[in-house]
Amino acid sequence: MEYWSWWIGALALGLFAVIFSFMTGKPLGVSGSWLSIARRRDDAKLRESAEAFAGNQQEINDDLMAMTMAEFGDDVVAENPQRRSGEANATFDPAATPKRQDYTPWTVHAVFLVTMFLGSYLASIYTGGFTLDMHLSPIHAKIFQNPGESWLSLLFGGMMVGFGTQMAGGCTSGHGLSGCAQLIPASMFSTFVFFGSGTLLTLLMNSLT
Amino acid sequence: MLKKYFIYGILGTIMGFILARIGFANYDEINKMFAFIDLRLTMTFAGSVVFVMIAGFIFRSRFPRQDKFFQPGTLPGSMLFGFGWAVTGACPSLVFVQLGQGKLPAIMTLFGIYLGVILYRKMHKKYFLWDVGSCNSA
Repeated sequence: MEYWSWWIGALALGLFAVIFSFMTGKPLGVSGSWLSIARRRDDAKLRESAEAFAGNQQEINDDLMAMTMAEFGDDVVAENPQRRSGEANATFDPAATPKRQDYTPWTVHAVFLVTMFLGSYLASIYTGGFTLDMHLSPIHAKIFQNPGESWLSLLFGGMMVGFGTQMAGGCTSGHGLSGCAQLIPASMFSTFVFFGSGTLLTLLMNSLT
Repeated sequence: MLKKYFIYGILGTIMGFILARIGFANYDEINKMFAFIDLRLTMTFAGSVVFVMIAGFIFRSRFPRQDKFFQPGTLPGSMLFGFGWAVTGACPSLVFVQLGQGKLPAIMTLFGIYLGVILYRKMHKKYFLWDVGSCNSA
């Protein structure tokens, strides 16, 4: 089954990125989804402590007042009696504190990634059936000839991809598609560099085999 | 909240389907793209960038902005990513597309990417500490 010609692919991918931006209110970026999954525990802790903090506002005020009295003496408080029990903050409303706007939990990002598998699976069925394959591709099998070599290369290559995208702050979709489309210098530079280094290593690998 | 799962689920399915039909997840196609043997994928990618650029210009008031800036990791990170991409033929989304095409070895790539992300987070907290401004992770 033939792949789409370049202009159909470009239209489909471009249109998808635009629809993604409008439906989620965010530019397309997949490495961010990975990050969200990797730091799921930190996020849970942060939310917990934020909630605890918001719940104990009165206690925090009292503690602050006690510390102020210990530091500056009772006179300060005596001069401003209304402040003794944190009444200066009486208008404090936990619900009105600025929250991170439209927080997307890591499970949503996980669904996004896993359904990519589903979409690809559907495409396989649509184009003639899903078959399990022990090799990534003929050229990959030619470059990494024995299976152990091939699987190890994928593990370390994957680590470079994971590490690199987090370090660069974006991947093909975040820097390459969304960033370049907005002509952001850092994104255009990053895209140039990863296409360049990919070309370099590919030419090297192809010349050695 | 359930709506969000639904939206991202539909979008993920569409993206997986499109990437699979473009052939972006096929290692041979990626190899030919990097070696300038076949420019179909390059044109596809450049074309979609232009498409998004035009759409972003037309809807500029309502289009979400990408927040990217230079930071010390931009150059080494991008280089590492390029090398990894050349070896695995996968970027963080394509690995799922490869798995959906039944390529079993891609499991190693999946595992590797997760390890790499975790490792970077650990090292970042310990040594790097600068702001990387990652994609829409919040």
